[in-house]
Parts: sequence; structure tokens; C-alpha cells
Amino acid sequence: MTDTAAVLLDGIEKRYGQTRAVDGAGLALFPGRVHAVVGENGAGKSTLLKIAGGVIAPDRGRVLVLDRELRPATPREAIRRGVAMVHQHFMLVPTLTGLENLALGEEPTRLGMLHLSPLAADVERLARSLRLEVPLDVPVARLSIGERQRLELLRALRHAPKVLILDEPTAVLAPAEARAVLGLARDLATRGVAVALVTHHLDEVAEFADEVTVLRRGKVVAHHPPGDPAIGDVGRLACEAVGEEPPVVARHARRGVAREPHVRHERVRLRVDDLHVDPGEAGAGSPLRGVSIELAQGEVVGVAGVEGNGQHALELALSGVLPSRRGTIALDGADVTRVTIADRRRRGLAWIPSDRHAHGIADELPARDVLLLGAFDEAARRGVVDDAELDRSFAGAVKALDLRPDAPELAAGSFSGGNQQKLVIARELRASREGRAALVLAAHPTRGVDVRAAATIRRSLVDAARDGAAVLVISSDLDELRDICDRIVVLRGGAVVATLPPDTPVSVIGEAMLG
Amino acid sequence: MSRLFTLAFLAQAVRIALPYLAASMGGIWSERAGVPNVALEGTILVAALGAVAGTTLTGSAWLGLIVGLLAGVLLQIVHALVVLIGRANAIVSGLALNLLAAGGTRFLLRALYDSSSNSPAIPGLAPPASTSLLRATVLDPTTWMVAAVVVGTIVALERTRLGLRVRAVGEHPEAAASVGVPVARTRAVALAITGATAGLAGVWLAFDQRQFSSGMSGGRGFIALATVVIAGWRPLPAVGFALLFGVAEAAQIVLQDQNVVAHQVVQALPYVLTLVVLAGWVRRARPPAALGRP
Repeated sequence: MTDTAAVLLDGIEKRYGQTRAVDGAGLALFPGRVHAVVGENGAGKSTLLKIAGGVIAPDRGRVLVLDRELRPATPREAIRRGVAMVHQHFMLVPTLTGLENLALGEEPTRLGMLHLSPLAADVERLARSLRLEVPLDVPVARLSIGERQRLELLRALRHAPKVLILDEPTAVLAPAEARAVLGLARDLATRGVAVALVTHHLDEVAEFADEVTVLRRGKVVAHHPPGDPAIGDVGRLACEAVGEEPPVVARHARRGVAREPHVRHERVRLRVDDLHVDPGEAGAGSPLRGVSIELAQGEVVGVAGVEGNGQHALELALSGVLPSRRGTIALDGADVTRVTIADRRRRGLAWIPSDRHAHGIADELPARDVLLLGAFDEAARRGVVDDAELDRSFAGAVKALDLRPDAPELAAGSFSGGNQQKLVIARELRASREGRAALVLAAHPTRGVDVRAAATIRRSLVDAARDGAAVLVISSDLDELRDICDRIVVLRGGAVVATLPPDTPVSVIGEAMLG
Repeated sequence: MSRLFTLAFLAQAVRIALPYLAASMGGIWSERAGVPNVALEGTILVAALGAVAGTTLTGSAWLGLIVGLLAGVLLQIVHALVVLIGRANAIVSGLALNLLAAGGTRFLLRALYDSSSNSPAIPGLAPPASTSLLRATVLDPTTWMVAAVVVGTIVALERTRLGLRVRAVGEHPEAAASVGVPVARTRAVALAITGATAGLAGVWLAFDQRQFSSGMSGGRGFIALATVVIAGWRPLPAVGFALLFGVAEAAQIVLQDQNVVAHQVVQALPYVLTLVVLAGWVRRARPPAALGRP
């Protein structure tokens, strides 16, 4: 290389307790290139890039920014040296306005008071030039996911960074928004910025990356310099990431589910009639205005829509978290509209929540005990937890879902995002395996989950339907819905605007979503 | 009943509300920064003794005021060390500090003044008791200090760098840290402010009663804490509720005199009011998201 690397990571090690998150990995980010970092959940991608961004200090190894060591290894120093980072989980304070969030850390003041108006003008100019317009004067909690992502990008780009680290920037975005973000990354690279892109979407790599590093279990297992044809070879990258031979994870099986025509049963398991829901202050986004859906036994139905069109309210109303203002929800013919969450579960509701930290797991609990949450009766005998049974469920999840690490006592919060999701899946789909589930409600079940785990999860959902449940999948991944659903309903403005067959082209579904 | 609506009654209500106002502003600084603070009660107590001891030892009420505030700051700095560096639970730390304050002030009372109940009288800063209550309240410099603390808190929390950082670390410390805000240091500064503002409540008490007496905080720290919660951790509503408690207590004093209802019932009025307001309002209030989280 004649160029010097903007960021050079060398021989990095980072442990958390027993696990080596990063085990001697290195990475060089060069100006003018989009460098994709891929790998399964828990491969160490996020940790490695957080080290580059000064968020985490490595146990061992060197971090060089433009040939000089990053010291002290703090976010502030990294920002000062031109390394900006957009985190996987939004690093925005929800109660502060967009402008206050942008000011935080380097607040302009005049006579001791905050003086944000010049900053607002600067940011608006920048936003216009990058086409990242976002309201700056309302609390972030009221912004949509896409707007929050734009705000994060604006903050990262405010000081014209030399290095931009994007940690799964598209995981929560609708397809059009995701393309806009990646296009922007591409633009910045042509202007000489070194861009690092962590992603699970290998097709994004093929289209937008110049260079690829593949991580597995904390180590670099492959590096493809610019021009290497492997970059466009989704199948090969997937194999490298999971460490398997090509035929197993070929492009065709990427989604992991070969859809078979499901047997139609006439038994209606879920009937939603004219459902109105106010999101209130529960952060449920936009309201539902009269939704009616019917799901029969063995059916998989997808819910598509641009984020913020009522999906979240639908999820929370069906699960019982939010009350319905009008309309009815019936499970197996029994009205459950005013029934508690616990009673709904007893009647066969299984729920894979979109926000597992709020609704799915308790970070501090041992992973094994997470399998008990809301499913106490299943693992208890006469009111006392049956440890042996619990250990069996955990071992079952390790085997069936490739849950890692096999550490039942480890706090659930220490598992990687994908493996936390597997814990939720293991618990929620237990009932359906035993034929007791009436409705499986899965909201964004594979968001932020690696390819192999995502395939396993999709397979489990289809299996749940085969075992007799009705499965409702809310997802922003249209390919996923087309792969596993029998029909797709499109939500817009809190109402169902279209019901489409699964072989509908993505562009047609997209049109229905946008209206 | 006509005695309920006089200027003297109003002055009485404000006077009673002053320690609630000061201490609730203290509670807001701490809790908005994400550190639960049940130690307001102990802070008031040590500051009251500090004010009296400072006055008797130096002969100056102004120096007494400063010693009192420093005593309050000191107690909250201990809270900061235990919670932020020792990573202990903030509720437990607060309870321990309250017990320490109760025992410690009694011990010092014995050591300094050889008494188990109260200190000798001190002059304080307020004009002599012979003047009318209204006049005494208006002419008392500590009244204006409390007013300054209230206005200062309202403005600073919204409009200064420190206020913005305090709100950020109390809501989402990881996000604040990711842009280089020093979380522990910001919280420590907030707690020092809590010590001074809640301490002002203690100084006011000591100067108002012109002595220190054992356990003189009398639950005011807890009423202030309730005020913070009812007010949804926002300073302006806290002012309203602190004044409401002042009115309730002043009314209780008047009604007690008139012997219309059993005085035990009347005495319970402010606390019944607390419960009613808590049950009615608190559902709408949302605590800082990171309250109590390291």
C-alpha cells in the first residue's frame, strides 16, 4: 500500500469474562474505500469497531489513527482525531431534542448559557447538502426510526470525519432508507473518507463495498482486497462467515426456507375486527385505525409497511401490552380484547417481541432462567422450578438453534444480540412445538441476526404453522415475508391497504407501502 | 375561616414551603442525573447543625451559613463516592447516610454543647421575631437565596451545558459517554449541587428556629422527595407542589387553633394531601430512564 491507513488495528484482543470477543484480529481502513466487516452474531464485529471508535479499550493490541496511537482510548479522543461512529443501537437521548443531542459533548455556550441557534443553522445546511433532513426541535422519542438514523449520521458527519464507522446502519431501516444510507456511505468514500460498514446483508456488501473482512469467533478468517471477485460472491462470503462448505449455504438457500404450499385448514385461530389502538405514551409509534385480519390454522401471514404505520401498535395490542380503543381480538373464537397478557398466553399466544430488551428478556438473569419468563408453568412442578427440566430446555435450544455460548448460567445480557433472540425464540416456540400455540406473533424476528440464525428462525416459524399455529410476522424485510408467508398485508396510516400473494414483486409491495 | 386568607397566612405558607423548595431542587439535580437521593433528609439535618456550629464557633451567621452548606455538600459527596465509585445501591447508601446524619448530629450536639436535645440560641440572619411574619419572611436573606436556587435550577437545567449533560446522563448514560461526556463526573457535580441546595433548607431551618435541635429536619427531606416525584422530576411543577404543601401545613396550623376538627385529623392533612396527589398525578410522570442505573 502506498497510502497510509486512516485507522489501523493490529493484534487486538478483548475478553469479556471467559469469552474472547476479539481474539487477535486486525483491520486497516483506507481513505476512499468502503470496507465491509461481516460475520455471524458474536463474531466480534461490533467490538472490534468500537475499539476503533475509542468506545472500548482493547486488552491487547495497537490502535493507530493516521499513524499515531489512539491515546487515551476514549470516544472524545477518537472524535477529535476524526473518527466518527454510528452505533448499532442508537446513541441518542430520547428525551432531548435532536439539536440538543447534536450539541451534547461539545455544547456551544454564550455567557454561560447554551447557544444552539448557530449550531442549528450549520446542521440544517449540512442536512440539506447530504439530504438528511430531520426535525431538530422535537424530542428524539417522537422521531421515527429512519429519522433517528439520519440524526445519528448528521452527528457523525458534522465535523467532516476522516473515518466513518457504521455499525449495522441498515438493520432497522426500510429498503429505500437503507439504500439512501448506503449510497451516502459510497459518496463519502469517493470524497476520500474511510468508511467501515458492519452488516449482515451480504447483498449490500456486493453492491456497496470495495473491500471485505470476514470475522469468525473473534478472528479474521478472510480478507478480500479491492478488486477481489469474492466481494460480489454472496454465497462464498456467507460460507466464510459461518465456516461451512459452499453447498450448505448456497445463495438459493440464503433465506433458508423452501416454501411449500401450506395446507389450508378452515379453523380460524386469530380474528381481529375493526381494531383501533392509540399508541399513547408507550412509544408505540402511530395509531391503528380499524384493522381487520383473519388467520387460519397453519397460515403464515406477513405484515409489511414503512416503519411507523401502525405495526408497533398492532404488535402491542395483540400481545396485550396496549389496550384497544375499539374493535375486538379473538383467539380460537374467544374474545380476548380485554384479557391480560398472562391469560392470552394461557390461551396459546406466543410472542417474539420487536424490542426484546423491553419485552423479551431480562438482561441480568441467567440465560437459562430467561426460558422461564412468562412460561413458568411449563418448567415448574407444583409451583417449584424443575431445574432438570430447565437444563433440558436450554440444552435443546443449544442444539436446535445453535445457541452460543453453551453457558446456561451466563447473564442473558452478555449474549450477542442474535443469541438473545434465539433464547426468546426457544421459549416462545416451545408451546407450538407441543401443539399448544394458537397464535405466534413474531415482530422483526430476524432483525440484526446473522444469516444462519435468521434461516433457523424462519424455519422455526414455518414449522410452528405446520404444527397448527397461526403465525403473524411483522417485518421490514420484504424478501423474508415473501419467502415464508402465505399472504402479505400492507399497513399504511394504521389501516390495511392491500393484501397480496407472496410472489408479488418487492417493487409492487413497496408501492403499496408508500401509497 | 377568614384567617385562612390573610397576608400573614400567605407568608406563613411560603415560609413553610421554603425548605421544601430548596430541598426539592436538590432532589431534582440528583435524580435527573440518574442518582436516586433519599439522603435529602440527612443533608438537611447536617447542614442545620453545620449552620449552628459555624455560627457559634465564628460568631458570624454568614460564616455559619457557609459551614452549613459545606456540611450538606460533604454528605452528598460521600453519597457520590459510595454510589459512583463504590457502585453501591443508591437507595441503601441514602438510607445509611440518613442514619449516619441522625446519629452523628446527636453525637456532635453532645460533644459541642453538652446537650441531648438542642444547641444554645443563635441570632440567625432573619430580623428579630418581634416583626410581623410577612416582614420577617421578606427581609430574611435566606428567603431570597431559596428563590435564587429555584430560578437558578429552572434556568440551568434547561439552558446551560451542565443542565443538558445532567439530563443526558440521567436518561441514557451510554449515549452521553459515546460523545465524550464524563458521566461519573457530571453526576458528582450534580450531587454537590444537591448538597448545597438541600443544605440551604437545613440552614434555613436552623436560622428560623434560632437553634439546632435533635432530628429537626422532621421528615422535610422526604416531603421534598415526594414533591420531586409528584412534579415528574421537573422544577417548575415542583415549585407549585412545594407551595401547595406549605399552604396545607399553614392551614393545618390555623385550623388546629380553631379547634373545629380533632387536631390529629388536621395534623395529618399535609400527608393525606401527599398521598392523594401521588395517586392522582404520578401515573403521568416518568422518571429519568437511567435513575439508579450505574
